[in-house]
Amino acid sequence: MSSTHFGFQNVDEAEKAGRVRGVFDSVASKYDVMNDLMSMGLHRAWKVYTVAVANLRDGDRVLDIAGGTGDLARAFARRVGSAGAVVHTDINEAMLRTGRDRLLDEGLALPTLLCDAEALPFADASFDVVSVAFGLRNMTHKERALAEMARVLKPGGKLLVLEFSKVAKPLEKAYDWYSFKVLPRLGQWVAGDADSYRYLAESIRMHPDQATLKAMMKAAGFGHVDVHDLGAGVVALHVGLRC
Amino acid sequence: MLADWVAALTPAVLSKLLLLANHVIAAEPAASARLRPHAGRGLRLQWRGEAGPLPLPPMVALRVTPAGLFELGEAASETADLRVTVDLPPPHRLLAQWLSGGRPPIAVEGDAQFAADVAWLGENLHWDLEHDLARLVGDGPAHELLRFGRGLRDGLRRAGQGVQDGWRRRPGAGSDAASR
Repeated sequence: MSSTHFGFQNVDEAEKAGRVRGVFDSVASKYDVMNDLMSMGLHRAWKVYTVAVANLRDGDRVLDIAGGTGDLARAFARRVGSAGAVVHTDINEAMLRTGRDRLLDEGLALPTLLCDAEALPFADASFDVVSVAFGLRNMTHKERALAEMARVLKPGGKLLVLEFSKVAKPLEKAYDWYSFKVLPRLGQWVAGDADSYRYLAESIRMHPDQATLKAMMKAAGFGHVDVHDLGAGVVALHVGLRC
Repeated sequence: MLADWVAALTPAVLSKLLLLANHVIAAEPAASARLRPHAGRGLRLQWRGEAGPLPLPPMVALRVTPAGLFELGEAASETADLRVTVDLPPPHRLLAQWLSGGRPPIAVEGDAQFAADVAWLGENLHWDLEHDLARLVGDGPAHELLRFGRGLRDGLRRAGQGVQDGWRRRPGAGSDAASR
């Protein structure tokens, strides 16, 4: 049985999904408030930018993977109109329920589906845009997930991967201090869970940097990949075109 | 010191300019359709001119991708099917040129069809800033912001033209020119 990383630990591949599920089960109810606190509200600007880059048109079909509490799905749904469709998915039931309830509260009844990004239950070439925000990092087989995203996209379709990335060198020390000293304490204080936020900091360090992820997307079938560094590389938006 | 900062910031600025170029090309389907047959070909963008207070920008190697867009290539190893050389005047003359609506001269060498298609992009592509702003702030505010921006640009151009005319008409300007 092969192993993979869970933060800085090596774990059995079969074990990783369960441990990631444990993290998100634990933080689901405080996920949004923690995002605001940790990023000082910047995650909202990164998502607005992602939606602008998606450049959706009336009638487009969108798949939101690891859609969690529904920030992107909600913004996408307003742009594709009644002729389009946004499918809101996540592998974690607690996150998906939180997101679905929030969307319903805002009058949006979107198709909501519990599914694994490494085995998407959709036909080939079903979507114009696929998005995954702060989710790819937690997937066990990223190459398999990216290949699945390419498969369900129509030719010319667009994949948006919004994810933590490699911060600019001059900021590394300050970012490490913030990630390993401040985040776990903030997690303990607000969500009552320091370990999940320690995992967050570790998983960011284990995630491929901008150039590596670009190469992985090209290998998965995206003929063109643009990399948008946001916040000096704290976050990067990779945009892949299937061609 | 200045050179260190320029060297550190250049890759970030280049990648932002490339994103903007790709955004403008992708917005015009005819543009990416022209580039798509050139997928895999390389273009080298180089600069010529006097080094003023700022060093000349570095040579940029680009490659056309299957989507009909550009990506950065490896400058050292990239074989260029097309070489585009931009004559850059010192920054103050470049600013004056921009204020009077001019562009620096460009020389293109290499594959004829690739050159024709790149020249077409240069002549026909324009950034629809109002459309992009409207996606963020709505149609009305975007229109007003652009109207303000255009007014500012036209005012600067008129002021720049006035300064240049005044400089040419200053006492002794004729004899300076004659003595060169």
